[in-house]
Amino acid sequence: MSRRLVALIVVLIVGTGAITTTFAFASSNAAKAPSSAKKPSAKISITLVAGITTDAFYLTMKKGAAAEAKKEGVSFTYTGSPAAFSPPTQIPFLNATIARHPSAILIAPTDKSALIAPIQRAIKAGIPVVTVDTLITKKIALSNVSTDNPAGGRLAADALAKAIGSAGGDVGIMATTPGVSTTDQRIAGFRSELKKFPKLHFTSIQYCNDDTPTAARLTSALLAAHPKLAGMFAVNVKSGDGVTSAVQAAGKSGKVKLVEFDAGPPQVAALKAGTVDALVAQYPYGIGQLGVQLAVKWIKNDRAGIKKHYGTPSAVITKANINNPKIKKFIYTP
Amino acid sequence: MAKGKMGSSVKHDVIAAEDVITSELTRGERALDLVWRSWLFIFLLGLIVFFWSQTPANSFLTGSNFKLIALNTSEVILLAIGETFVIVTAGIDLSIGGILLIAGTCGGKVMLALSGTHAQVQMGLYPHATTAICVGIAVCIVMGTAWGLVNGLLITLLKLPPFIVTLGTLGITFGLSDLISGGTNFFAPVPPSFTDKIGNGTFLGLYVPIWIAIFFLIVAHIVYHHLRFGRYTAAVGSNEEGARRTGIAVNRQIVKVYALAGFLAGSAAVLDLAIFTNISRASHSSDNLNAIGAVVIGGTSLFGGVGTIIGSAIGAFIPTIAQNGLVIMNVPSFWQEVLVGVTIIFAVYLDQVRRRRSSK
Repeated sequence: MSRRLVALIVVLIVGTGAITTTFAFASSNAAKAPSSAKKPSAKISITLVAGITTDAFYLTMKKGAAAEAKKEGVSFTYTGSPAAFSPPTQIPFLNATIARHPSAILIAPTDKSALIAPIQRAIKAGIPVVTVDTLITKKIALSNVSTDNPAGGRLAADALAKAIGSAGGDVGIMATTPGVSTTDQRIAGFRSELKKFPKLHFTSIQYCNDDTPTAARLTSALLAAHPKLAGMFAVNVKSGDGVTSAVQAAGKSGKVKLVEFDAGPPQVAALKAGTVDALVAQYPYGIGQLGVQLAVKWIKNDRAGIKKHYGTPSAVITKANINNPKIKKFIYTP
Repeated sequence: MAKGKMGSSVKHDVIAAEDVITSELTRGERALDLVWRSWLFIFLLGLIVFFWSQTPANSFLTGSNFKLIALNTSEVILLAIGETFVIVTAGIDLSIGGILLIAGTCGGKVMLALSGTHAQVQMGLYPHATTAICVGIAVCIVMGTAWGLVNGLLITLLKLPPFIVTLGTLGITFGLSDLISGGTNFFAPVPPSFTDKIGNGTFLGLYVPIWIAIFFLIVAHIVYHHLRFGRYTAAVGSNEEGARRTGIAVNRQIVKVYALAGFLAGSAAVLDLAIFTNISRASHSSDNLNAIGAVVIGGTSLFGGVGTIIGSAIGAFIPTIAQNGLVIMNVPSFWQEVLVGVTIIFAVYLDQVRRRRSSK
């Protein structure tokens, strides 16, 4: 009996020790990162809260923001949920960032309305906020930097029409979730432009919750339901990856024309392989750069020229122009 | 057979024999028993002290930060309370995330439909918000309880394992929610007054969802440790046949416990709508594992018969505090999952050792 008790005490101590070591290791990692946090007033620090940290789009934005931060001599951190693009997963990361009290926050809100109150808390705590990529319906952020999404949607429709050609046919959309400002605008732009092509017939819009396997399953179902499906428009990286894999799996590469928003490595590979016909690339690197620039200006009280909204350009990438240096800067480099 | 955690287990007639064992313990063993019972609390304090020492001054250990941590934990606490009762019966409920989603989807849809015409709501006008909110809350709770009842009835009437039944209803509720919503968010957020007053509203300095969680914690603690319902629940999980022979309506008790878990999932759906203005499947796919993790870390035995409500609440806080602290430390939040995993294994090991000892 008593030997067992001793064993238990040992387990307790070892267990706690193991956890502490884990943390010690973790904290030593943290020490290597820019540790301006120890004296927040001494240096300007900026945090980017991504919509989902593992997405090539946000990783490229992080690169642009980090490069600009280095140029400006301010410290930069990147955070957000690695698991899902949704308010319940994003808000805890924003809250922890508020507690850390950086000089400014850049955030890609995961919902137009759910993020209003949490962002308001940041502003109340004296932290200026720039919304990047997506936005919230209440204009409390100092500025919003995003792609001109309606224009991007129109570009996508033109590119799809060109790829399908004179034969025409059914067209479907793979979207993430409704209520996200950026993708809603892309869809609106795409559908309004599509009306200019009488031979293209819009069938349905599917929502994959920004989940690649779901997008693939939904696409397989669409392919079965609409044998005349001639083209698909996927609104972002994750939905695009799913659409591409499903079309490939069905052996319909080339028959179903694909135009996708965003230009992550799998999209570019698919474009080179001919599975995807055109990509509408945003400029996340530039969004990150401009977001940091605006935040630093605001902190340094150079606020006069700051506009409430900045649109960044997008480009149509095809097999023909992918090696053009002017186009290359739009390819995402996570 | 295992021993109730709190002193009040004397009342647990069926497992009273365990207390004889307790009284035979030497002083040293009793001291160890105390450490055992409070290791979780010590661990939580250790975690807080650790983060406090590793983060800049006035960042982690502040009232405003802890209020937000509590707000983020309130939903998991409700789910964990229901899961505690279920696990004490030696059952498991995998469906709570699905029940939450279907209750919230129906409640939210009703709320938007009653708030005004489609056009009004789309423009941000909610002329009948108050009625809509009340009916919507009722729908959430009724829906949650009903699905809990379905679980309980399937388990007792068809004599199916809870794991299978609730895995099935998890799929059914997720699928039906997506059918109802078209797999998408609502066309507009729930009435702003609902969000302002309940989701982000404060009362005596704390957010309303925190008060709701505290209220449910107190009631559940009393019910579990001091009332017949709790005693019967533990008896069923400790020794089902024994409970039946002492005259407890075992099946009815099991149905009630699953209905309770459903009721709490429905209540959590109300909080979800109020806090996030919308409900999305992506964020509820691992609710069941989060709740079970909290319950297990809290010291409730997966073999039934033993549990604590407060332990589950502390267990719910460990992942959220770890996540918050790690983000403030600027450490990749992936470490949170590692930490929680280690803690779960450790907690179950402690439970095993304790059971082996007490069955000697």
